[in-house]
Amino acid sequence: MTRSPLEDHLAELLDANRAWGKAHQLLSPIWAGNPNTPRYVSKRVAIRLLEIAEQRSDLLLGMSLMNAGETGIAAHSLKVASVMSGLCTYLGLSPRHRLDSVMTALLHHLGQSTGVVGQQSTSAVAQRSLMALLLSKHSDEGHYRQVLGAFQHGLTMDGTGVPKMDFPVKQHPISLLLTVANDFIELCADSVAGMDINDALQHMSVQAGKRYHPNLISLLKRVVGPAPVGSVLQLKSGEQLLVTQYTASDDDWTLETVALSARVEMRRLKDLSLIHSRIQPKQVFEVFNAV
Amino acid sequence: MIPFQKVMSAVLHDVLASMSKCLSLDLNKGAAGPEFDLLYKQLREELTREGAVELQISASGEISIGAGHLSQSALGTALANAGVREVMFLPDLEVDDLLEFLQVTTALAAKPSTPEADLISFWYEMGPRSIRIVRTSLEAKYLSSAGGKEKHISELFLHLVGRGEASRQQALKTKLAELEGRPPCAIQALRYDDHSAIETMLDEMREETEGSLRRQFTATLMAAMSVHDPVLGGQDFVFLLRRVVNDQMASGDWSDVLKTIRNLEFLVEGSTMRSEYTLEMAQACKVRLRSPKTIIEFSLRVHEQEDASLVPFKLVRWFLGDDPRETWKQCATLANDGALLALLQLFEVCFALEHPFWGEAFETLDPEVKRRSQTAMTAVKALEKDEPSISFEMPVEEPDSADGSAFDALDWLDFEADEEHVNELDASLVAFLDGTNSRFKKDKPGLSINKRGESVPALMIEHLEALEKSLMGAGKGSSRGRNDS
Repeated sequence: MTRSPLEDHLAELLDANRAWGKAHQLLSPIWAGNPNTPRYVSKRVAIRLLEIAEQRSDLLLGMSLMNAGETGIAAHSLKVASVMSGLCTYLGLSPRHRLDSVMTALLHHLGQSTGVVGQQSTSAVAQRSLMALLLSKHSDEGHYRQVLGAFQHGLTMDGTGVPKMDFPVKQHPISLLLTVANDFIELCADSVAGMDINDALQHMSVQAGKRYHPNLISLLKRVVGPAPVGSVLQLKSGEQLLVTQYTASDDDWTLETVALSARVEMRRLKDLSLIHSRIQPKQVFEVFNAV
Repeated sequence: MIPFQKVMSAVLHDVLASMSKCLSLDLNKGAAGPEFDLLYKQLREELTREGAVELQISASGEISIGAGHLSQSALGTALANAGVREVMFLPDLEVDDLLEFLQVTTALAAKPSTPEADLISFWYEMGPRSIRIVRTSLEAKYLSSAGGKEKHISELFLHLVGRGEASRQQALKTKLAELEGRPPCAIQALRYDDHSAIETMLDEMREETEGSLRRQFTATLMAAMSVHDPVLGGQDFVFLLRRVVNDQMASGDWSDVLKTIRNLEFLVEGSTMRSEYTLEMAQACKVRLRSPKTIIEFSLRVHEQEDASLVPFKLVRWFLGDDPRETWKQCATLANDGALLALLQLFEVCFALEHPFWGEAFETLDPEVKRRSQTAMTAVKALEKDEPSISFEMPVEEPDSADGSAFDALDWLDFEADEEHVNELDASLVAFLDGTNSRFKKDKPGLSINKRGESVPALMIEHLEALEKSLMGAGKGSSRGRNDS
């Protein structure tokens, strides 16, 4: 039986969510034990994330926001890495830099001694990461980028962040990216700020040029879009739509959506009335909630 | 601990109950010799007894389970109970069954108090019907046991793991190569005027070399010594700095090593700008970097160089420390014959072989070390006869009879007076010392001394004086507490 394009959309969404969950399972145990293991595991995960991002970076971002309730380091790192892979893809970074960036995101909490984000100060995390990353027996270019990223990600562009130092250093470009991705995820995480994406983006825009590289904030807005995949939109007409795809071009974007029947039950596909529609920027809508 | 056979029996009962086909173990028969064969035989018997399972040997060294159903299996638990911490599985099962299995083992891993909790890392590759679960390594106590079946079993698994690891690494390399082979995409979805600003940032990344990254890392490391809420201690920084200096030496970035040393000296020098913590960390690093072991490593690195004259004179002198005779004594005592030769050549950068330094340096040595040192010196002299090397001929002065010490008479400080020789070698350092080096700040992003409003020249002069004194060994810590303003 052939599936309609619409069913493919939904299947992709569910597949991506499953892939995200699997990557989470894989990453969960790496914060203990052999310092060489995390690098190895994260490289595999990073490659997978980049493969998905090349096709559909909107899916990864959607998954990150749909899993906002996950509080562990693995989930946090994976979310940051998902945003990072989107940023890198939009930036047109070289494959090598893309891989280094995503790995940096996956490992930026390495060395943290507790399993939950926020239980240690960013400064302590940065300092421990420095040690933990250096303990693995690699010293290639990528490795130095990861160490720099992990240590500097809280530092911010103007050097006023953490760790507080008498002689602050300039952030490496990967650290600039990581700061943006990390802060966005933290602002959206239920356990930290619990903002919705538009509030988070607004909050970050205020600090563009100080805490963040201003152009990276514009880029983030483009990567995230008006409503991430997996969110439910409510049109003025009262119609509810599930976002299944987001694409952006230089001055335009498109949301592919599925209209939902009265009940929003993602777990049972049968309850969805599969009506395909597209939303353009001029249509007014309100982001109702994330599934 | 449950014996492995029992575990296997339990597992097999479970597996066979739901499997339509057989479990086959593919082992590399030739690799491990008779012991391996015995183990294979035992396993085969065990398996056959359990249900006429056919066991075959192939060269792949992988466990694979044929088509069939793996129940929500006690397999993970059983293996964990047996002490197997990580086992590699290459099952070609129904994807859904495997996912179920994954969920079971992961759920187990979430309970920290159970032995199953150690069964933690697994890897799968997405793709239709090709999920791999990999677990590597075994509980150490099995391997450390004197012998017996458990040890054999452990060795078997380690062997399997080794084979699996090799193939995984190969697969990873292939994927990486594939990824790197793809062309970069264009910047998307930004206004045109945003592109140029980001391009600048991206250019920075594109132009990066391993050397420049390492410099950034070193600057960051130095900056990390000045954190306000320290987590890392002296030993940590010693480790980190040694690691980076070793990397720099290994790639022959001598000027980078010198910069690192200079930064370190800057931090060691007492000032109100630096906290006690920073001073302590920097001093710990300085002491450790000048340890005999590091100097021997350094000399070997220099020895590997085709042209040792590329190694900055100042760097060698810094490593030789405040009392080169004592340094020589400590190093020579530790070094083997090969290292002694390299060490002698390193010291020769500062002290020509005819220099009175050597007479005194050898005097204090143990007879055995002295004999070895003299043999090394003869060898170096012979080498130089064959192939005169470019080295610094420092002025040799007659011993001062009144003082009685040739070396003291010559005075280590006099090397400073002979700055002209140094100039040729290290023009950048001289520019730095004169305060004319405009790259001063750029070279040391970690040292933003202008941040607090002090005038750069004043600070620089103060720092340079201190650096000089420190290099000469006369003013170690003497300027501690000096007013910066």
